[in-house]
This record gives sequence, C-alpha cells and structure tokens, in this order.
Amino acid sequence: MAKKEPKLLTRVVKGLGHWLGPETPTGKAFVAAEKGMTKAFDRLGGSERYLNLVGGALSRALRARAAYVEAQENWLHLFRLPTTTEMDDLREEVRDVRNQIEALSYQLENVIEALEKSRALAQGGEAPRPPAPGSAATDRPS
Amino acid sequence: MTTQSTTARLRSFVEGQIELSREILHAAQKGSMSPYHYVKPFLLRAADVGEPPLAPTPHKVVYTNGKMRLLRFEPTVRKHATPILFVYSLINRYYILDFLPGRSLIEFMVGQGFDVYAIDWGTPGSAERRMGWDNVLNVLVKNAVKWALRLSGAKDLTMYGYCMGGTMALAYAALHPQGLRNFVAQATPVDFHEGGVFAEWTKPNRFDVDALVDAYGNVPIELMETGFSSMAPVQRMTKWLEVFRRIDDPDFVTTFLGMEHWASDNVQFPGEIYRQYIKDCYQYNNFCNGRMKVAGQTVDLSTIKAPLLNIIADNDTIAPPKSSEILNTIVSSTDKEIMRFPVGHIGLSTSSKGPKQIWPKVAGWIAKRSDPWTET
Repeated sequence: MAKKEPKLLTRVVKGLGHWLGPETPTGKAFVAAEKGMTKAFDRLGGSERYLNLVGGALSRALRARAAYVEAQENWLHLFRLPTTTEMDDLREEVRDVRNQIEALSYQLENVIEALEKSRALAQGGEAPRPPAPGSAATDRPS
Repeated sequence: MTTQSTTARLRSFVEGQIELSREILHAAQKGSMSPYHYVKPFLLRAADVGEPPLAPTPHKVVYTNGKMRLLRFEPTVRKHATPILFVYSLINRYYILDFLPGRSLIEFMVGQGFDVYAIDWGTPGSAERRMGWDNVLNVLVKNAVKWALRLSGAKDLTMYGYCMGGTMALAYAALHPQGLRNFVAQATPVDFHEGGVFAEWTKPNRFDVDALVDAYGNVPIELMETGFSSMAPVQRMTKWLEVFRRIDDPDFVTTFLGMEHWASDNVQFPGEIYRQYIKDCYQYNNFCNGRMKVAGQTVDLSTIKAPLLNIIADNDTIAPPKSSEILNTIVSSTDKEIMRFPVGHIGLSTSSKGPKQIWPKVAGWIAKRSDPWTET
C-alpha cells in the first residue's frame, strides 16, 4: 500500500519541531536559551526576596478586593437586597437540611430492616435476606 | 484534475480554516490560559487523530450529593469481595485515574476482578463555597463508604487515596476506621513542610489565605492554573515541541493531548476547605503532627491500624518522596509497605510503566488482603 502523502499542516508542524530541535543549529541555540530561562526562573522561584515581594503584593491586592466586596454588600444592604454572603448562608442551611434528611432516611431504612427481621424470626421463619447489591431497594442515588 | 475536485478541495480548505478559527476564538473568549486550547485544533488536524478517549471504563452513578458523584465500575467477572474506593483530590478531575484505554488504573483494577468505586467531586460552584473538612469527610466521604459497602455487599473496603485525596482519606481513616480493610496512599503528602515549592510559596508570612478566600470565595481557576504553571513556566511552552516532532505518531499525540486535556480541565477549589487545607497542611503542618481538628475531633494518624501501602513516585515534585515517607513511621499498622517507582506524580496513573510494572504489584498487594468473591 502506498504511503499517504503528509498534509501541508503536518509538514509545517513537524518542520517547526525539527527546526527548534536539538539536532539543528537554531535548535541548539533554542535549547540553550530554554536551559538558561529555566535556571533563572528556578532561582527566582526560590528567592526569599522575590517571594516576599510577590506575596506581599498579592495579599494587598486580595485585601483590597475583599474590602471592595464588603463595600458592595454594605451598599446592597442599604437597599434591602440579598448579598452573596446571605445567599451562601442560605445554601449552607439547605445543604445541612438535605444531609440531615438523608441521615434520617438511612436510619429509617435500618429500623424497617430490623423490624422485618424480628417479625420474620417471631413468625418462626428465616430472617429475610438483606437486599442484594444492585437491586432496586439499595441501588438508588440520593 | 477537474474543476469540480479543485472546487471541492478549496471548499474543504476554507471550511477547515473557518472551523479552526472558530475553535481558537472560542478558547480566547473563554479566557483560557492554557496553550492546550489554542494548539489542540492544529494538532488534531495535523496528526489526523480524534479527541482522546478519556475516562473509557463503563460506570454507573450510584450516589450523588450536591456536585459530588459516586461512580461504580463493576467487573464482568468479580474475583474479590472487598471493593476498592478511590478518593481523588479536589484539584483537577478524577478521570486521571481512568485515563485512556490500556492506560487506566481503574480499568486495570476492574480487569483484576475488583468492584471499583471512585468519588468524582464534580465542578464546585457557589454552593460548595462554605464546605469544610467536616462536610467533606463526615458527610461526603462517609456516605461514599456507606454506599460502596452497601452496593458491593461487603463489610469493609480498600480505601485508595491519591495526592490530596490521600490526605483526605487518611484523615477520614483516622476519624472513622470502621469499614476500612486496607489503605493505599498514592503520592500522598503527609509532612507538608517537606512539600517542595508549594510549602515555600504558601508560608504564612507571604500567603494570606484568608484574604484570598474572603475576596473570591472559591479559589478561581486562573489562580490554580498560575500556581501549577509557575512550577515550570518555560517547559509549559517548550514541551509542545516534542509533540510537533512526533506529529506522525498518532498514539503519542493522543496520549499527549489526553494529558494536556486533563491538566487544563481545572475546577474552582471550594473556598472554606482551601482555607483549612492550606492552614492545616502547608502552613502549620497540623495534619502531620496530630493537631488538625475536624468538627472538634482530632485527626490522629497513629490510630490507623489497617494494612497500609504507601506508593511513592521518585520523581514527584508535587508530593516529594520525603513528604510521603513519614507516613509509615506515624501509623500503628503492623502490615505496612512502601513501593517506589521511577516516575513522576502523574506518571503513577498514566505512565506506560503503569500496566506493566506498577499496577500489577499494587493489585497483587490489595488482592492478598481482600476476601475472595463467592457467588451466593
């Protein structure tokens, strides 16, 4: 079977990779530059002075943004409009309630299973087998 | 060459260019920082490959709570009664554990006859902003364990934590040892003061995590991406040259694009748990030293007695070996082992060495400590 002629795009991409590869003079220069930049960034990333500078600037920017968000919420309060914090509080309450209902329903299932087991034993029969994995009784998402 | 075929070729070329431009514009509109979104359209066409077939193992969603989903990967032939529950990190998506066909840890374990479950944390949003350790460990992970045991019909399971997922799973195991048969910690940082560059960057005197969470709620994707890119900013760009050189190797291109897809599939980090994670782990190392508290209860790793397998990647820069090794000296397990492999952090789940050298050993360790499956 004749080999398919590579597309123009394939040749361009491969050519670019080869041109900047370690075999060519341009590639050797590129690799050297890459090594140099990597070394420089590694030194910068480990420099206490640089990290403290960037960390300080980031913290100031974040605190400014936090203050802006707080000012926004105070403004919304003036107009008796709900704020993001209040919506988060509500979501948290909803999640708590949902978790509590789930826990209660699980406890209820355990109670029902225990009741069925004791009823079966009281009637002199075998205890009912627990629902098999994957059956409709157990295989349901919350 | 007929006029018709020239016209058809021209039309095909123009349509292709329009489609390409549309994809790149879409990426730019979304504000994608990763070069993946801009380079991928060219590479797919140049290499004549389709989208990487990520997360190939069939599964069912068996439990949900908010954005969290518990996935079940049922084996065709079950050999082990003790199921495996994968707990992945809140950073990036779970499917790194189910990477590509033939290179999927989950697929491998299912093939070995394990009933496998995995927690998919989903894409956190505003509703997850206030979620802390208590909610994650005492509700979500606890329910995942409960449902995995219920559905598999087992009395205990093997908990398998990866990276931050391993940290969370260890905290869970210390608080709730019931139902845990074995524990596997893969590339799991424990001593965060040996946490490499992240430990340096998040020191309390230079990283105000409270300001970040108060300002944004959930940690924005851009900040997460910037953090990881800053580890190797030059290689982030130059690694693409390797795939350019090997553009006529479709397997290599597919694997590379699959990895880049996952790496660029960032999600927001829920704010409150980020605050607690940074403080309890990176800044004050409370997790390692038994000072971390969850809903008033102390997380004491020395209470863990289950058989422990600690998998360490020798070339790991995210969870350096020194940060993981200490685990075996802290737990009270009598049956404990360290397995080391010459790969990186992600390589433990995606390397070509996985199915041949790494996963058979791990599966063998787990199988030896699992009950055999008997049909009833």
